[in-house]
Amino acid sequence: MSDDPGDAAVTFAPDDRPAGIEDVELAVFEGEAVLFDVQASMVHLLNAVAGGTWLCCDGETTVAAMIDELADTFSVTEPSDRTALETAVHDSLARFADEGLLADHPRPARLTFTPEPVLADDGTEIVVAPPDP
Amino acid sequence: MGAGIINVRVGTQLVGIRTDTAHTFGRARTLLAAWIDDDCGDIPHALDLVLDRPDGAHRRGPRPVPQLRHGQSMLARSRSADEVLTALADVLGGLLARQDDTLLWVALRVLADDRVAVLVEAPPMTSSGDRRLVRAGIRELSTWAVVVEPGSSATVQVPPPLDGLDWAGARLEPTRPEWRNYDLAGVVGVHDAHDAHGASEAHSAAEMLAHFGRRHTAPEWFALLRTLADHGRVSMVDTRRALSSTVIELIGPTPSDTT
Repeated sequence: MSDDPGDAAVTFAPDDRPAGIEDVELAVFEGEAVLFDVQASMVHLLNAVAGGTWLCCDGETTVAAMIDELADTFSVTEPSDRTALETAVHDSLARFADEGLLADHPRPARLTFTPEPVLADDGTEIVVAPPDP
Repeated sequence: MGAGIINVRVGTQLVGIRTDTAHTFGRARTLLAAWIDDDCGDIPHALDLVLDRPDGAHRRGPRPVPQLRHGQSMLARSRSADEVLTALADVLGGLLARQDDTLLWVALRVLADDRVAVLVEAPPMTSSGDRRLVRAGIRELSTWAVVVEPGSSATVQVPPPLDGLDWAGARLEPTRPEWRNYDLAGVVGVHDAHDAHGASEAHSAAEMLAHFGRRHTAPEWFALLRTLADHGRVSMVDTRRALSSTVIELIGPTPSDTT
């Protein structure tokens, strides 16, 4: 696994065993999944491969085994299709790492914008109208 | 141009209400007398209350429908000025109740009959005055936000109006001073999404869950949406007519309709 801060994306070796963080709610649908990261209060929409990859992130399954398992799940037999699947699995893992969804990966710093409350002279918050769209 | 701004102190917040005419100003001041704060100085208005023809407007011009707005967002709109003034009391009551942040507040519109509610994410006025909804006994509830109580049978709880209002002085029928509870039937969004050929794009259950899941950060909200989505009770539509149909279908027949 390469986690060089200078790299834009984290890469994984075939024998790496990625583990997903625990505080996550997952909803699996046909062909897609939605993942709610409780600590970060973030919602992630995953396609079929990303959803399958996430389910394999148990800390025991190697990346190579993930690809084998997903190739079996999606009935991938053609070499070109398998190459595409490998790329998609690695992209998914890199995304999970970037989003702080994998254990042992730091959560990304997030810039959140919270508007300053408008205060009256006595310090009471004033409810304001939203800006025009 | 407004006729005057009424400042009310609601719990820990101040709210400026701009009124359209002197008559509206006087009536709203009477209703809200117990909550008015005339000593807070000039504050920007957050709400616009229109009950009458603007002062000086040409009598042959179009008559504005009474309405309550928060910026561009329509909170209430009705041909009855009484209903809109009552909605103001409800909205302010919701603002006060909303200050209890231990509850799961969701800022979605509420369409409900007497017992069942649907949460709606729609542009302002999408559902206002919809005849099909009215015929089905469904109306929009005016509120600042609602509490969602997750569970095996989730409920929507609508805050009561402010208490201590001068209903008689404002010539209004007082509304119920308690929270109103409804069974939650589903969540519907109006989303104008079309592909390159102008055809509507369908939304998958996962896309809808991801979309509405971003409306609140509580895991309970996500879990509730997941349950609703599993039962086909989260929808995204692209027209006003489809919104009405979906809401009517989700709320289902009233008990009297089934007998």
